[in-house]
Amino acid sequence: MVALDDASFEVAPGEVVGLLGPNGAGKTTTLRLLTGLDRPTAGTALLCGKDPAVDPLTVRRELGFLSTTSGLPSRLTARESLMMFAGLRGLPDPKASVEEALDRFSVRAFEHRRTEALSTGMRQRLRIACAAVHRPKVLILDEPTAGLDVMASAELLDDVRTMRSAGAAVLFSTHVMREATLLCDRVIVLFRGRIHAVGTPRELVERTGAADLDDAFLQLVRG
Amino acid sequence: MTHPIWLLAMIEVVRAVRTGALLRSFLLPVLLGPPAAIAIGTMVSTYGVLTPVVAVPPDLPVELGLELALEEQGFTVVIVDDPFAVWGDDEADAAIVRVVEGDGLAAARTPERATRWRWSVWAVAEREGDHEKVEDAIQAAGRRAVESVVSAVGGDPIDDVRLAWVSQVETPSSDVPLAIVVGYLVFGLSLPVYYVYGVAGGGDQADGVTEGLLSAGVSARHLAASRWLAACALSVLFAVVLFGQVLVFGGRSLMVLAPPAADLARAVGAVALVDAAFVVVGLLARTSREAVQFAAIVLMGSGVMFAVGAAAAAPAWLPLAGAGSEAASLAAWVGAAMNALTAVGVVFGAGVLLDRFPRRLLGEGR
Repeated sequence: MVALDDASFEVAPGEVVGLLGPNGAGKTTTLRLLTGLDRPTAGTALLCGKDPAVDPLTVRRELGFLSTTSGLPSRLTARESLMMFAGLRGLPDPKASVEEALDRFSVRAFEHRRTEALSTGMRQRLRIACAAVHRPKVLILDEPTAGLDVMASAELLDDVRTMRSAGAAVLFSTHVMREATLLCDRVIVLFRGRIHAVGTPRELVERTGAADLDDAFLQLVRG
Repeated sequence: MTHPIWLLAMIEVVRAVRTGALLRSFLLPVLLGPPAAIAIGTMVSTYGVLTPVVAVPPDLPVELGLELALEEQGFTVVIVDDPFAVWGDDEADAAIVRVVEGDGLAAARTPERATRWRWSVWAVAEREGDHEKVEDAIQAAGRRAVESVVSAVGGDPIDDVRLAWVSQVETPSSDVPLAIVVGYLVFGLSLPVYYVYGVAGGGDQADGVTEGLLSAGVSARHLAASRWLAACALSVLFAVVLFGQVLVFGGRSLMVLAPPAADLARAVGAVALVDAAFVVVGLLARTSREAVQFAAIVLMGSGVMFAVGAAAAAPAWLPLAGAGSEAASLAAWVGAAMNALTAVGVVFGAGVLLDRFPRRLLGEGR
């Protein structure tokens, strides 16, 4: 079974690109290939000019990755979790980086609570903080707002905007078209492992003559 | 910058120590159960039911009356040519190994100035209870004998004679070496359990912690090595706790279950072999998954080895089956514990291979 076929795209620094597609479209496979957690049978992915299939550890130093399946270590506090990831990233001053991340991602309010005692929204904020504590050049987020309420989603999207303004290249997969409209500079519509369309949300709406991105997406994937 | 192996190992230890469910459901019973059971069993078998045997030489001074005093302390007295050898063969709980007759009161011009021993008695006993009983018996016999002499010369035993010492009881200091052996065995037995727990990361695979760490740039080799290191550290911690418990509960009480040294040596050797295999696995494994699979194979292999060994040695290892025997020997306990823990390890190992690691049992996967 081919999960991803002939998919080519680029993400520039300071740009947020949304990866849109239904379940099983190949979004997660795409993101995992970019992190080196999975390997392609053919083709090449490059992050900051390096191939994650060849040198995954070097690539991951430049990368912040939040997947739907990556978790937080239980029985550590939020601060300890951040300290762990800062230490693992080999940051020159991990404590200062943690202090900065606590404020940047609004984790300060629950920094001393254990991860298993956090709400879904708090956990997700912490997971993003852990993924981005080292201010990565590339940030890959796999459905980061899944399971979050409106408030938590809005706060999380603000976090992503902050990282974009700091110059990070952000690749962002989602089912929620409204989020893509609000946040993404460009979107990629992926369906059955193939790219069906690329453009800004406005371009896709105009191209399909749809009322909004939801309709545009449906028209694109239904052919 | 802290090396990822050290950093992750420290975090694993912290997390394991904080694991309430793991501690309650698994570690605490293991920590407290066996020592408490052995201590209670030993107390009952030593003080309540059994008559300790003391070996005495045939040439005990009649006027000392030591045999009678020992019987009054509840000992069964057996007269043998070489009490020390009999005691050394575990056929007696205590032995009077030497009695030296001195001049005593006969050398003194007056009873008040008697400064020389009439009798010096050397005894050996391992158990705390036997030690005290032997000493009490020697004290009582000596006091009675001296009192009769003092009375014969018209003195007042209470005023004229002050018995400073009438005996020297030697007790081998068995607590420390036994505690070390027990600590080592516990370390060896708990290492595989912690190893599987640690390397498998409990529910970390399901929780996505492993993936999170990998995507944070940690190499799988560092991850596996750190968890192995944490498993070693936790096992040492566990063994140190048991070490302390043996010292507190009293190693000499445990020595009533003492096995022949060769059995103990074999048990220690077998554990060392398994641990060595785990060390090799830890060093060779390239990924945590590979390490878990290797560990499972080692556990299953050692399980078979122990099962065969225990079956072969069963007649010698099961003194409980012997009529009138005091209790199971330590080797039997060790063998049983080893097999029980190995069985647990085999189940865990098989579970890992079948990808059904019982995460919830380990307090993870919430």
